Amino acid sequence: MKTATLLSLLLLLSAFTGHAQTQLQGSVKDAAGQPVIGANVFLKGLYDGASTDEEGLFQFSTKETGAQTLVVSFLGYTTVEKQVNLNQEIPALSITLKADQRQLQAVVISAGAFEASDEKRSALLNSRDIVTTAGASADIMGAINTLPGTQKVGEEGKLFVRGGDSYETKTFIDGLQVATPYNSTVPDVPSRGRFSPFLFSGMAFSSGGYSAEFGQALSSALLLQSQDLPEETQTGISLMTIGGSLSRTKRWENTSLAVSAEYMNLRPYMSLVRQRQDWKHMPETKSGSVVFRHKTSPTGMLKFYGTYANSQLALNQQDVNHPEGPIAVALRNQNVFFNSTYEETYKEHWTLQTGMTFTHNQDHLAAGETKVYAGSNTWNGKTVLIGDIGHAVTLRTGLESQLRGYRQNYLENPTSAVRKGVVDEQNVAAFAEADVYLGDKLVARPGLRWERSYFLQKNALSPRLAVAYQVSAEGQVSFAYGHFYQTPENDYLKYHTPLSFEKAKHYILNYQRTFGKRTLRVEGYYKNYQHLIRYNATELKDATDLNNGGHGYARGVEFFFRDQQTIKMGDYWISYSYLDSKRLYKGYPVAATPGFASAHNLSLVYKQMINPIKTYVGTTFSYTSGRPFHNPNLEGFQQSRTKNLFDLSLSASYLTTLKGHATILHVACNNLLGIDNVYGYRFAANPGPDGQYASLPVVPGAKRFALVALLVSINDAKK
Amino acid sequence: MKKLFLLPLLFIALFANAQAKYQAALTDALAKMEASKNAEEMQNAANQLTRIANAEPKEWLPNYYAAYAHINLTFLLKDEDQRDQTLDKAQVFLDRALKLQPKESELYVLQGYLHQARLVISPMMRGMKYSGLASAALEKATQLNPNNPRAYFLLGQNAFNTPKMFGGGADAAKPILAKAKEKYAAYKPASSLLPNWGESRALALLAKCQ
Repeated sequence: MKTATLLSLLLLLSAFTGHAQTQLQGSVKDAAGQPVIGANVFLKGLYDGASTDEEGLFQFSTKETGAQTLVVSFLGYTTVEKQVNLNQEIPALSITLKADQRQLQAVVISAGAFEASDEKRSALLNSRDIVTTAGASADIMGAINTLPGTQKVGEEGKLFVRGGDSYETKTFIDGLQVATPYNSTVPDVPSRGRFSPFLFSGMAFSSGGYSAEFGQALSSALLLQSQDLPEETQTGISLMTIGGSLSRTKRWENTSLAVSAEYMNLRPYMSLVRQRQDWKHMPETKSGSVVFRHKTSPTGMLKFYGTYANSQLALNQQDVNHPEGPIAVALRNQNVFFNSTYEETYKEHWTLQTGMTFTHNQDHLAAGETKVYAGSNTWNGKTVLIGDIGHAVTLRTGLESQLRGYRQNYLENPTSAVRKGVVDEQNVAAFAEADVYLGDKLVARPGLRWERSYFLQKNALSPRLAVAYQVSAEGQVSFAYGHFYQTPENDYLKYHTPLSFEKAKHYILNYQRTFGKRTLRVEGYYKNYQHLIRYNATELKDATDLNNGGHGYARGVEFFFRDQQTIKMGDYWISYSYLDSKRLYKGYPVAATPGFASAHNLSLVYKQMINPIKTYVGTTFSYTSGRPFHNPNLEGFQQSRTKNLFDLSLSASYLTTLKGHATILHVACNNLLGIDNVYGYRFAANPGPDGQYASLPVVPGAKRFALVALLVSINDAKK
Repeated sequence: MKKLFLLPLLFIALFANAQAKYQAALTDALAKMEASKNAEEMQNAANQLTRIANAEPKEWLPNYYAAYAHINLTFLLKDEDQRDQTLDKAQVFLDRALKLQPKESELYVLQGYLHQARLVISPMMRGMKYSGLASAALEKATQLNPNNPRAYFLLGQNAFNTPKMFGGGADAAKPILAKAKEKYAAYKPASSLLPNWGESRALALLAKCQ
């Protein structure tokens, strides 16, 4: 009997198909009432469902009964869930999907921001652009110098942004501030960025109005995003006229390790090509680095980067105050840098980023009889939490702390006493900011940053705001505003005079239009400086008063156009910056335009792939209007201008294989036309017997700089 | 006593019923995907496969096909952001499948295919990165199953689309595609639901290399 019951039960199960069906139908529309086509409408956890048709209508039947959840989802919209009772007749459903603004990203904040990314097509530059920009010599800062907002300062090689001094621009790797982004050098020998562009998959250059996440920079933030796991196991060899490097990258499933060693010596090159300076020890650098990556989960990543560099140089430099003969200048530098970050996403909506950096830097400088030792240790720690709240708000909030110890020993001459400078600073900061999407076309990013300097015993609160509005299918307008604070440089802090933060306020208005593969940007800005460092002598060492009494302004208009469409396999961009800036700072007697603040800067960058000869050619033309300098033989202050500065650089990369391994032969030359550029003049402190102040021009170390490099990558997978 | 024998039978029957339902649903959805000629039809097929994948969280195949349909969909879409977002979705399904079946060669093939789909959205900017990622995934697929014809097909396609100056081109692709042809000829899927695509495309590409 019981067997029969079981059997009939089995039969019943197989005959389950005969059950009553419930019809579900309705329409799916977006917020504007337009039908959503292709939306997936289904019962949660079941096969039963349908897609919406051209009119946004759906219809399906189910054999299920009771309470069920109806799910409606489509790309770019927030998924809707609705309870339905299948035991009853269900009337036609009308469902409205709300656009998920974060997913759509129709409008982005572009005021002040230049993004370079290998991933995002919206980015204006990618890391390959950095390497292939002629005249940049594969230096990140050099390539950034072809973008609007920068003023070229050849003798420094650093970034000067919108009338700001170089110390007003800070560099960040994976969100963490880098204490020594440039290599150490002596006056008139330009520095380079310490980091190879190949380490990074993306960069964002902000010439103002940046996020509340970043502080301690009055003018600009350069954000570098390090690479994730490298693709393949490989060995890299590079041979250059100025040195060479060897690297080995090993890739496992979720882990990678790369080790590299580099040796640079300009001696062979500088012996061959006549130099204006009298070198005693041509620049030489030994360095090594380790890069470790580990994917801890599908969304988690642990990164470690460590590098050590040891460099030295020595030369005899002309000094206008020392007519007896040149002064022997020598510099030795040691630098250790660690950067470690961890990122993980929780429940798809919360991302935690945390990291730490350590920098140890040591400079031994000798100039004539004077000897200076400067050493610093810097620790940075930061934790950021990013959360998606609802469908239109992304919140970023975080804490940051910096510990910095700086020691300087200054020996004017062998008989004088050692003057010691000591700065121990701790800076803590907290910030919160939110991207709020107000409809499809408007996004606002209000933010607030609080900072405390224990050395200064001061707090600073910086409000920030950025807004972007899409005005047409291709164009958008953005606005950015913010307060920015920076602790004065160690050179001032070491006197232990009560000082305060330097401050800048930014106002930026931007229009950007993207049509096809062309981008047009026009940006205007006004920047107001307060509490700049001032002292009452031409040279800081002669000053008796050091205070925050300085101020200044910078305003300008910038233009950028990039076209990757018109020329087949070609790409060009034009960037132009106009700057009007004056400041009263340092030992200035009156407000004046500083030497780095040239009024007009123009860059034309053109790159072309020439397939028949497998060569990628790049050329960069740059123009900088005459740079201001102070001529004590004339009335007034900073009243003179140098001649206009021009540069035409060329580079070519020939792509080939060497014994089956991908090989690039790269040649580059700066200032091809050999134009005699003068960066400025240095005048004697005292007039000569004729009552005139003698002067010496500041000029590049050589008329041209040429480079030949051979890069080979030996890939294990493709033997 | 007898009912003790029948009890397992009942469970088998229950299980078989569910299995049959799952297989029927998957077969139906795959047929729709094969027949898709435009983005709308492919979207519908992808939706249907998504429903099956969501309802069968323990089966790798529906997740595999949901990812596959979404990748195929991107080749029919025009908007580049939409294509990228669709691939993000495909990656979610693929990750789920990889969690269920980490040693399955076909899943690495699909990962390579997904990387290729990323690449074609912006070859100039993404070429270097994604062709490397694709070949790494595909090499892994050949290690897990040296007889997987799709791995060779996509490796050949990767080589074909790589510029000559980086060691690609028709000459480099030809021997790999010839190998794919060989492997396709020998390939017999263990069940009608297992991956069995790419042969005609591989042959067409091989013809282009001649």
